[in-house]
Amino acid sequence: MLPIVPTLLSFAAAVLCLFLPRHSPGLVRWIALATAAAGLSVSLACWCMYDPGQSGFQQVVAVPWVPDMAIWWRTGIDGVSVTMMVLTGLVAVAGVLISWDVEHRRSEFFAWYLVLIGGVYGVFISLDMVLFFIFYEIAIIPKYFLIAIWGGERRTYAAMKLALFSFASSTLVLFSILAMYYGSGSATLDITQLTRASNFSQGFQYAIFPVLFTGFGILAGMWPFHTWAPTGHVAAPPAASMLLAGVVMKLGAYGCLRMAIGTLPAGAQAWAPMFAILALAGILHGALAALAQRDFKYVIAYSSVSHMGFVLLGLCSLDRTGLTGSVLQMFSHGVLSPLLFALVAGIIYSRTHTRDLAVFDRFGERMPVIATFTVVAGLAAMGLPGFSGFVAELHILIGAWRQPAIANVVVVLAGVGIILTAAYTITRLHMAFFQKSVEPPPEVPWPQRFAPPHPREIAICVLLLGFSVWIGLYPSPMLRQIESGLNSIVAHYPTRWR
Amino acid sequence: MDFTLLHLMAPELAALVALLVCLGYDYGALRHEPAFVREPAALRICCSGLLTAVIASLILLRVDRPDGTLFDGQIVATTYTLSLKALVYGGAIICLIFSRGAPRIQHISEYHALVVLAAIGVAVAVSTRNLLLIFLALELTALCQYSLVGLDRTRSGVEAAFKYFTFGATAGAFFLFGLSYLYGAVNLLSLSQMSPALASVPLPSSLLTVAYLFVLAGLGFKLASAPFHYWVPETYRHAPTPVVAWIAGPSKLAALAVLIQILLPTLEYPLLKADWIAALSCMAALSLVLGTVGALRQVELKRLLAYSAVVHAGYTLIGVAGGTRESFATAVFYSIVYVLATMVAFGVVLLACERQGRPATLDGLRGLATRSPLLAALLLGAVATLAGIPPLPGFFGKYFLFASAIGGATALPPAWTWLPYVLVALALAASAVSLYYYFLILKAALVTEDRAALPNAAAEVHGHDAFADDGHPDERGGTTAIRSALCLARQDYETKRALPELLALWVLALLLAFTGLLPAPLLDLISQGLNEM
Repeated sequence: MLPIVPTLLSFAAAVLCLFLPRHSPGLVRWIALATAAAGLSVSLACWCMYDPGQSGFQQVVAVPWVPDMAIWWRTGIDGVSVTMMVLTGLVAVAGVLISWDVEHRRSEFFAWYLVLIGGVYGVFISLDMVLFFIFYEIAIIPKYFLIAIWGGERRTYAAMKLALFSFASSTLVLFSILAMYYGSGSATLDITQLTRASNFSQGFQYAIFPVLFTGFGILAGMWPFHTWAPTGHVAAPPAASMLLAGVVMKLGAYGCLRMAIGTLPAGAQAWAPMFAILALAGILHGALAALAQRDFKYVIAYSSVSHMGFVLLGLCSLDRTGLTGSVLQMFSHGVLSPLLFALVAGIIYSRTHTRDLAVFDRFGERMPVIATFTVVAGLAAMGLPGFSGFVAELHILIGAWRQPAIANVVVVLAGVGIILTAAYTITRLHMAFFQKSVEPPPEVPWPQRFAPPHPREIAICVLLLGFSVWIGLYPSPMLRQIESGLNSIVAHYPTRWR
Repeated sequence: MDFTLLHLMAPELAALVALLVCLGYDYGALRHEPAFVREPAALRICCSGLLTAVIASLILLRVDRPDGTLFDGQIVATTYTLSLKALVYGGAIICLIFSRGAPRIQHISEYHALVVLAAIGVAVAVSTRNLLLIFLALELTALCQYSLVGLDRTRSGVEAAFKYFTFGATAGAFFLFGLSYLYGAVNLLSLSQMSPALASVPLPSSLLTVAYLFVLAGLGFKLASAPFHYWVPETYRHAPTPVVAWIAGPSKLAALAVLIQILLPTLEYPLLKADWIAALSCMAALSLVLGTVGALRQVELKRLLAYSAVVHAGYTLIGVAGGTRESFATAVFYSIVYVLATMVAFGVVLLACERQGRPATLDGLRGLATRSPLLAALLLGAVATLAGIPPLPGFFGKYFLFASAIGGATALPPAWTWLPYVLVALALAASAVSLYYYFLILKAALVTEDRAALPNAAAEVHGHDAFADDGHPDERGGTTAIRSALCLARQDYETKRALPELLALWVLALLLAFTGLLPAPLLDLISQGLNEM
């Protein structure tokens, strides 16, 4: 029962937010914070209770919902989903903290925010394809409103673009679900059963795998369907950017792993080399685009596309190490990109009111603590040893290298992508914090010292960065969880080392 | 004739009594009274009659009904028909509640009586198994609706009514022609004995093909399906909104129920099935395409909802074209959900735009979330249901439709097995595109600020582009404070006065929410009902 709690709690709190009396506006955010914190605690509890020694899903709840159509309320956790739950909890808490000062239609803001969180938790625990899809769709609607109402420039454009891409994605997914329901021959929507005994015909898998993988890939920022991501991330309010980059893109990757790779092994083996090339294109395109930005938020947004390219490359390796690295990269990017968005779009922007790097003037001296956090976060995201990104990317590259179906040159170019990552991270950080401004700042000169970070802001940085450092220094507990969760999926794929 | 089971017709009798009392009281005792006295009286009489009808239907569900037929099997009272009846009478009550205070100069009792009569027509149509009675009941409903559309006697209203009538009369003729061929082929008017009788007709029979095609054309008009949908946008746009809520909502159920009843006996004859499956598939595909394309550029809410009705007719017909009892059941399930949601949508259009003196356009909805959050929430629910967003029942409706259509592929003639896949792919594409125009509504209602509260409102010209940016909330000024205050005062007054309407909307919304969370009971009920037939 425990894994369901965060979902239901978030939905209940969202409803509560709407019905709170209007004369106590402060209460809403405390409710949101309490809900997010409770979700994180429950997720951590699930993480601790999950026993990696046992194979298969744990804490499974299965109740028939629409028996005529074989739709069940079937939830449970394995090492992968419990990792994603912890990630969701972390980002949710950080997101509430960064939106503490939202004034405009506050209760609606937190209501949508909590609905989004609830939907995301729901996806990670679903073991029934339709239930999975339902939560997947629930997570789309709040994104639109969070961006369209509380976003920045071009917010309506970005919100609509994101919503349409998401719906295109869910259309492909729903089509595949319907096809799989009838294609399996066993008239079941149970993901565990389909993973355990994947009895789809070869031709069916060849036809459906690309549809399903592309469907989820759109949300994971797969090139060339990534274009919603930069505009969406940049236009969104900080908390929504954090959720988008931190967990919503992971929904796509998680769906690719759980449904496409988990249940259609023959299709995956046939198509993985092709999708690996798309993943590589995303890595390089994202990194090169980030190198060309002068809007700090666009840098982070494009770096997300690049990092998600690594996640997809890891998935395409179809190898235990590569898949483990991929999930770890989801977690690592899931804590670091929200941290960077919080810093750039929230903490720094609230002081400078601009994100144009060209007017940043030696901000390292003007905001030393914030600059330190940003530089450390940037280096962590870059994949510096000692942080989670390094462990993850190493696993991914090893996994991809081992897979004979993926051309060597793809892996080598992905390595070039890491160099490009270093290039944009270091040049952008230099522009932001250590360089004299290229253009004069608007009107008033920058103050000698900006306001020091609020304890709330420090809490965000410490919380998210702490997990990255922990994984970077001592990854084995999380790796053990993830590997145990991947067992049933990896069983489909023979280890054919290069 | 056996009248011992006449209590099975209690709902119709109750409604009929209310209708007569309403007319008599209004023409007699209240003849010289002003409208504000006559209207509440008529409303109360008709609503209590209809409420009795709803309750009677629900009680009959529990009563023991030996074989449940009346008048030599011409009227049946099964769980399925009684539930549909309860829904239809309930819909009529809601239509009447929506009509409170509408400007109908001198036709008060006629208006109420016509709505009740239309409801009786629908109720008879869903519960009869006799071809002639089906025709009469549908025409009764249609005649009431033609009059209701033009009862305001505004120029545009009359024009819409005339258009509706011309199309409708032609469609009625087609329908009757089809029925006459059907009768000619099997020499039977009773649908309960149709299935064995069809066995005696040598197949393929061009007589039966023509009969079914004409029946489909006639009913396609009533379902607002393409290519018989050209009356829909104009009629919806110019008819009084409560009437549209009725025409778009419960009255559609009659056409669908009749279509299913007429097609059920042919299910065992693959050669017959192939004909109407091909025709229905074409109609469904056309409705999906034309409705979606038409809806994309609409600014008027009622026209937008009209085109969305065409698309929904397309979805429903996919279920009917599935050609199995299961797919029929999902089509009915989907229709019921659609009826509830569309009534909520029109109700919100009425309360949020028309009653507040705003145009019923996307612009008129601006700032609804701040003006009246409750209406905005209802609109969100209704539109999300229409768009098929889970966990609202619209999603389940669509999912069931698609699943049963694909599942029925094996039961189709071998040459047609690919058809459901194509239709479902088309419907999925249509539903992805439809989110664009549904989001236009939601954007107007929930995202954009009220233009009256913005400075230099008159100077700004805005297109209806979902991608267009709107003024940032920070830019709002208080220059038109007095105007906004007056506006707010009026809205406050209207909201308080609209309590019954809001109550009706909430009942619908609760039904929707319940169906969304637990879709199984309703689906079971419908499937059982269809299996009994």
